[in-house]
Amino acid sequence: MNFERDSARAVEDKNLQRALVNVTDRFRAARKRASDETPGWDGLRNRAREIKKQTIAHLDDYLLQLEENVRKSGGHVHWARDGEEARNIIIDIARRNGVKSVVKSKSMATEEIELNLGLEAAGIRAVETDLGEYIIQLAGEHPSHIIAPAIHKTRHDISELFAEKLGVPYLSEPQELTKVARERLRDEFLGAGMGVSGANFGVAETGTIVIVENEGNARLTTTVPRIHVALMGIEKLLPRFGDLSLFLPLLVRSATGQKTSTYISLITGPRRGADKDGPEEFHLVLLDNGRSGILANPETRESLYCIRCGACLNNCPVYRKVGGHSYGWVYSGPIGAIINPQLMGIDEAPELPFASSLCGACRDVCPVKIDFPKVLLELRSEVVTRKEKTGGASALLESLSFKFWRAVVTHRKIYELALRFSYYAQRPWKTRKARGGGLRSLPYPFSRWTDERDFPAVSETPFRERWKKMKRRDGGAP
Amino acid sequence: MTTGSREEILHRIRKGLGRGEGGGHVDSEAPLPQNTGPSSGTGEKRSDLAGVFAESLTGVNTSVYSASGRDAVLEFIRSFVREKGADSFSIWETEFLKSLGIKESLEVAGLAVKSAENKAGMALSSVGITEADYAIADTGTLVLLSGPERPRGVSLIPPTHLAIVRKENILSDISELFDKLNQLHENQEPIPACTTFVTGPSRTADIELNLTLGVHGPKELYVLIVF
Repeated sequence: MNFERDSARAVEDKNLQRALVNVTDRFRAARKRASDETPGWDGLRNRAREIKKQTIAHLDDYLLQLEENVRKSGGHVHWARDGEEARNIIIDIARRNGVKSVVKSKSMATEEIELNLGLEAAGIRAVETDLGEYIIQLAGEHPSHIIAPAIHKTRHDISELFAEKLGVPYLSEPQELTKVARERLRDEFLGAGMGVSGANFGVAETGTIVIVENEGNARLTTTVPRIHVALMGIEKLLPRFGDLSLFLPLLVRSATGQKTSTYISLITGPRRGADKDGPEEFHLVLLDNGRSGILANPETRESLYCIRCGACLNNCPVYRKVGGHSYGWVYSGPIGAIINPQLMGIDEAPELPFASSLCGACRDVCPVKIDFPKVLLELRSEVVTRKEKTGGASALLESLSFKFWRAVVTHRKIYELALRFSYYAQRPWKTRKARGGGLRSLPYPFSRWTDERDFPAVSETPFRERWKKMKRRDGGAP
Repeated sequence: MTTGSREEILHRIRKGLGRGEGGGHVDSEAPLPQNTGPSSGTGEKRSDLAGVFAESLTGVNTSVYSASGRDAVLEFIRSFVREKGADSFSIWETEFLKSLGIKESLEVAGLAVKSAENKAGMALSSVGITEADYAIADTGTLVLLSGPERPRGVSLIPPTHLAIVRKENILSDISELFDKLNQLHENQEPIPACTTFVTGPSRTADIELNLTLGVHGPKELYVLIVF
C-alpha cells in the first residue's frame, strides 16, 4: 500500500471529489436526522457498547454457543484461521456439490479473503449481485465505500461499462441501467448452485445469522440456490436474540439514516422439513484472520466492537478527501485506519494510523462509541517503537530531532535563544510572503511541510514580551 | 482440518483475553445490560397503531388500504388484480388466508396459481400474496415467518407484493416485536428457518445515489389492513 501516493492521486480526481462530497454529505445529514429523531439515542449507544464489550470479553463461550445452536438447527459450522483456509472451505463445499456458479451478496469479509479470485482459480464462476458490487466487479475494481461501493463511478462510466461488458446499447438513466442488471442477475440466481453471503450479526442464543440490505439480492442469494454459505468474522456476535432490537436500529440509522432498511433476514439453519423453498444446506464459516490477535492488546481491543455501519467514513475529514481506495485494503476511513494495520500486521500498513487528524468526529458518531483517537495513538506508538527497533537512518534522525526538540523547549534560556535565532534565520524566505505573514516555501527537510501548507513565521516580538507589556498596561494579571 | 483450526482459534482467543482453557464463565460476570431498542409508543399513539402504521408505510413508497369482513377483502383483491392486469399469482396458505378463500376466488376469476417449488415459474407470476405475522407501526415493517405454507419466495420473486395484515397483529415498535418472538420460541415453536422484515419495495441508490425501486425484489408493495 502507498497512502501518500494514492491519496494525492485521489485529491486530483475531480469526479471522485464530487462523488465523495455527494455521498458523505447525504449520509451524514441522514444519520444526523435519524439519530436526533430517535429518543434516547446516546443511551442506546452506551448499552450497545457495553453489550459488545461483554461479548468480546467472552468471545470463546459465545462462539461455542453459536456453533451448538447452528448445528441444532441443522446447519454446519466451519472455523477458518485465515483467509486461505476460509477460501478453501468454501471451494471445498462447492466442489463436493458439483457447483459451477456462485451468486454473492455484499460482504466485506469475502472481499477480505479475496473469495472471488479463489473461486475463479478453482474454475467456479462467482457473480456479485448487489448492484454496486456488480458494477465494481464488471469494472475489475474494489469497493470504495462500505455502504455505497460504486460511488466513485458516474452514470456515464456505468453506461459505458454496461455497453462494453454486457453488449447493451448506451443507457443514460439509472432506472434503465438498474433494469438491465435486474434481468441479467435474475438468470444468475436461477442458475447458481450456491449462494454466498456475509453476516451483519450472529446470535449465539439461537444460532441465527442476520443480513441487512435494501435491494433484496441477499434474500435471493439465501433463498434460491440449493446451498447457502455465510462467512462471518468472529467478532460479529451478539449474545441474545433480543439484542437485535437494539442493534438493528443503531446499525441502519448510523449507516444510511433510514429508520430501518428495506429487508432484514434472520436465518436459522437450512429449510425445515416441509418447507417449499430456501436452501437445503446451510454452512456458517467463522473467520478469524487476525481478529483474535487484536484481543491481546486491551488498549485496541475495542476495534472489535465495530458493526460496520460506515458512519465514521462519512464524517471523517480525511476520508472525505482521499476516498476509500487510498487505504489500500478492504476497510477504509477511520475504521480502516485502525483495523487494517491490526488485521494485516502493522508493518503492512504503517501509514494508516497517521491518516487522521485525531479530530474525533468518528468517535462522536460511532454507534458503539469506539474511541478512535485513543486507538490511533496506541497504534502510532507501536509504529514508532518498531521503527526505532529496526533502526534505519530516518528513525535515528526522527528520534534525534525529538531529543533536540525536548532539550530546546525544556530550557528557558536555550528556548529564547532558539526563537531569536529562528527569527533571523527565516529572513531569506520571508520575502516570499504568504497570506497572514507565513512562510510559503522552505528548503529540505522543511519543504516536506511547506509543499502542502504555509509555515507560520516567527514573530519579532515573542509572545512573552507582549504578555509582559499587556500586564503592565492593564496593571496586573488579566 | 477444521477441528484443529477450531481449537487453535479458541486457544488464541483465550490467550488474548488472558484466561485459561475451558472458558464458560459467562454467568458469573456482570449481567448483560437490558437490550430494549428505541421506543416510540406513547400512549396516544398506541390507541391508533393502525394509523401510525399506515403513515409509516406511506413514507416508504407503499400504498395502504383497509377492509373489514370477508366479502370486502375478496372484493378488494379481485379489483386489485384486475387493475394490475395480473394473470397469475403465488400465495401463502395460512389459516387466515385460507379462511378468506382468496386462492379459490382468484382462480375463479381466471388467474393461474404458481407454486413456490418452481422458482422460474414463480418469477413469471404477477403478484405474490402473503399474510404478515406481525407488523411494526413505528417503522412500517412487515414481519414474515417462513414455514411449509409460507414460502419465502412469494414476497420476493414476483414484481408486486400484496401483504395482508390483521389489525390485532400490529405492534408498536421493534422491542415489542422481539418480546413476541421470544415468547413464541419459549412456548413451543422452534425458531423458523427464516424471519424476514420487509419495509417498502426493493430499492437501491448505487448509481449516483439515485433512488431506484425494484432492483431485485418487488418493485411495488401494497398492504391491506384487515379490521
